[in-house]
Amino acid sequence: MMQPGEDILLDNDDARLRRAWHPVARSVDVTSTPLAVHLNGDEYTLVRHGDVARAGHGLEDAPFSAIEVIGDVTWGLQEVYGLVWIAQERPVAELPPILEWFDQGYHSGVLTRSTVASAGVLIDNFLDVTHFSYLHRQSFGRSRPVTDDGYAIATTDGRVQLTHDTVLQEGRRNSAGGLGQRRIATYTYWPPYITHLQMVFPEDGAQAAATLICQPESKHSTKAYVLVLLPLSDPDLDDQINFSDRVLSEDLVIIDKMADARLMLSWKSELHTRADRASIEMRRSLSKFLDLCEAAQSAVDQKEVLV
Amino acid sequence: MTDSIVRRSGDRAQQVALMDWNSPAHWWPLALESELADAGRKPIAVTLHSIPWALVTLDGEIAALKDLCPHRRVPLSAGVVADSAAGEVLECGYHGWAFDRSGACAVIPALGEGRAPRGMGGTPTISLMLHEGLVWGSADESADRSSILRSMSSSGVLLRAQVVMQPAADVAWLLAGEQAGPGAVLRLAHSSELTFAIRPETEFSCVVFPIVPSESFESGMQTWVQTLAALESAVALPL
Repeated sequence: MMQPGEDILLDNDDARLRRAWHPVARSVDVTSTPLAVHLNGDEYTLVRHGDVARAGHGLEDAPFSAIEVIGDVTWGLQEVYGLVWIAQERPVAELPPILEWFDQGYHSGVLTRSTVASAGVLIDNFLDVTHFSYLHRQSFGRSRPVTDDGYAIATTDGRVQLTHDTVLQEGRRNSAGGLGQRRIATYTYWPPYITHLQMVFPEDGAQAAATLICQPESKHSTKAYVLVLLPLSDPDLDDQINFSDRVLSEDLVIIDKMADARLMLSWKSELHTRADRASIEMRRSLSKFLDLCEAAQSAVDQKEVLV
Repeated sequence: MTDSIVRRSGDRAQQVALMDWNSPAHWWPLALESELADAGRKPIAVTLHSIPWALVTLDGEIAALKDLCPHRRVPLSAGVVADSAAGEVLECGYHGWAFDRSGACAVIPALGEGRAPRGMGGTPTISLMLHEGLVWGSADESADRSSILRSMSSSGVLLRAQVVMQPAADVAWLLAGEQAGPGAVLRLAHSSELTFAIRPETEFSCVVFPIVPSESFESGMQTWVQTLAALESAVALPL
């Protein structure tokens, strides 16, 4: 429980996070050649017995080659969303549904980046919109400051949802003859480190989705996976992946400069405006999730004492 | 990391001296004025007693703002000088929060155009003094500055500052002998003309600002090069 005025920073290798599913590799990177991965400060080796990764977009029920974890014991492993996931202890929640992944009308790619910033700070950055005119002026083309106009928050059972209706590329003529490109975005956050972004561009009817999932490798290392999802009718998947990579690079330029890149769980220790409500709700949701993990571990510890 | 030579000496007077080096009630050299001039509208990051500061020129005057935006803890030294209704401000590179010379938050773009932050979001500052080409800073505006004003010669040439991975008290003691004290320009031991200023950067590192007289620039510089090289290879006494 947070005390007033206390700064609570979340370590990237916090032991409570052992009770969550975390990605450790892209499916395509796990082959018969042993692959070393790191999670919450521990090292594991993955080996695929065969050469068929689990596909998506209507093919997730097709046969795929099993993966073995060599080394430290884990509670479980699964392969979905183009990623291999590990839970080090019995997880307190299952993975959320990313609907576009199961939709045969979509295709996708996964990009990865590594950073010294914590997973929590990366998620905070992904949910944040007021940095568009500072970090993404070149990519998004947003020049005017973003406020809380068109910004709405809802929270349900630990899930945080932000709806943001705004205009990007204000200087560009759109297909309707006006200026700028309207984007209606829905961000959905699930603790600890999954955020899904669905975008609709009303002028030309385009849609796209991207999911940021973060792997806390160690105290000072995070691997970010961005799952890029486009309708099959949009053939420019490679362009969208390159664009997502560019946007992430723009974010990392500033985030990698933080002297202490841990997430401030005690949200009152930082300053916020109304356009930061998604960040506040994310921290509340994550704090509750960590409490659940801690309670689950306490229950196990008490049981072991009694036995 | 090595423990402080002074701390390990056991000498009571030196222990007291060590505490004084950690005191904020002195003026400490932060940067060369020429560095600020060269930086233009970009801040310079310096660290004093493990606290980061962003030095920046706003409306023609140098200011030292704590190098941490209170919004998301990104260093303000990653930002730039911007123009605002309140004059020139230091704008954070993440969300554009901007701060004036006093550290007050002058602009929060997410509030909307024409809406000023009312008394929220300021960042601490320290007092500054410019003297003979050096920018000096202090958390205590009333700290004694007389020894600095007395001891720095207008004919002195400042060499590039050097980071030394040893505590400031130890480096001062090694360079200037037992008379070395904080908050002053010190004379290099065994030299009648070479002086230096020194800033405690962290508990285990410091920044030395070597000074040579202009009339003996070449020889003075050579002496400093040799002295600082010898300092780097100085071996700490075992604990």
